[in-house]
Amino acid sequence: MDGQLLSETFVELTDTMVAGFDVIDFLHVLTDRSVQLLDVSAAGLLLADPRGELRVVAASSEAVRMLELFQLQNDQGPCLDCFRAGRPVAAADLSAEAQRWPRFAAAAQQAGFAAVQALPMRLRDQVIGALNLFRAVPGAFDPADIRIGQALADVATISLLHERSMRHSDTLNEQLQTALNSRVIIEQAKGKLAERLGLDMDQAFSVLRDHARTRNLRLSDVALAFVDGSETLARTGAAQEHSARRDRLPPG
Amino acid sequence: MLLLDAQDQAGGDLAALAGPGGQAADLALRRAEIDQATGMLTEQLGAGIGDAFVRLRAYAYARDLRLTDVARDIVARRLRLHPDPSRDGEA
Repeated sequence: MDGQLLSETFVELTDTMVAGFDVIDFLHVLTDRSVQLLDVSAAGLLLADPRGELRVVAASSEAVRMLELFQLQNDQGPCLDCFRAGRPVAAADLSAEAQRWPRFAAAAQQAGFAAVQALPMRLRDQVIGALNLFRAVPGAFDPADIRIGQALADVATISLLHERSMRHSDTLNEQLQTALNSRVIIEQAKGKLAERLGLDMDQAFSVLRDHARTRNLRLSDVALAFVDGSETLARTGAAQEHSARRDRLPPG
Repeated sequence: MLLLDAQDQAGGDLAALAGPGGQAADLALRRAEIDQATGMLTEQLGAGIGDAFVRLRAYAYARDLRLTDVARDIVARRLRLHPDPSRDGEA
């Protein structure tokens, strides 16, 4: 466990009151730091919309994003159970869960995941979503990891609820709607950048986010500027690096 | 404005296409792929988001394909569109 990174992460997950707060960025901090800090290979996050339906708002990779959508599509899986019960849900070996989640267990294994831990995004009796942690190898999750994962989810939940109450006391929906709108532009920007530099979607997302981070810009603003052509990302170090690597590598 | 138009079109198109049962959910699942494919087409066509989405939809309509299937082929780099529509699909 990287203690320095852990304490920095708690600060990041508390820091929603800054000018230029970007909810998508914030949620990606939660999924990415979960992967960095805990013994897990991937993380995904779902939040409930005003009708109580879960939406995928962040994922540490495309594979996890697709798997989270698959859960919602089939109305089946640990994240949904966790959200509905408001309690953690665990499966140490998905190959033994064909009865509990027939379609989800098969899809998760096909995506390369063998174990899952879902943690509620909860404050008292209000459950706003769930954080899913995945591992590539079967086995129980380390109890210390689960405690830290839940602590990260708790801090993020309080920050999200606080941000909602501070900025949009009358429209609770706005935070999530903003996130979903940003998601469209970010996916378009990923496609444009992937095509331009010959990257896959995960790499394209990294380049966009690194560009935003190093310049202290909001991810959604960078994505919008890139899509409308006012930002070329030409001077982005990560883009050059990806591009150079592509030039060096032989095809295939 | 174009961008907003494109989103409206995309939303309307999805709603119109959403059939009973699994298809609506499938469209939700593939929504990100449509957005990613539209972004890729802006580069292939040298067009804005709005025009890129129109071309994506036109390609699917003219060949009686589902929008989501065409988007998936573009994202998987099995299909490229060309600034000259008569040359769509060429490498």
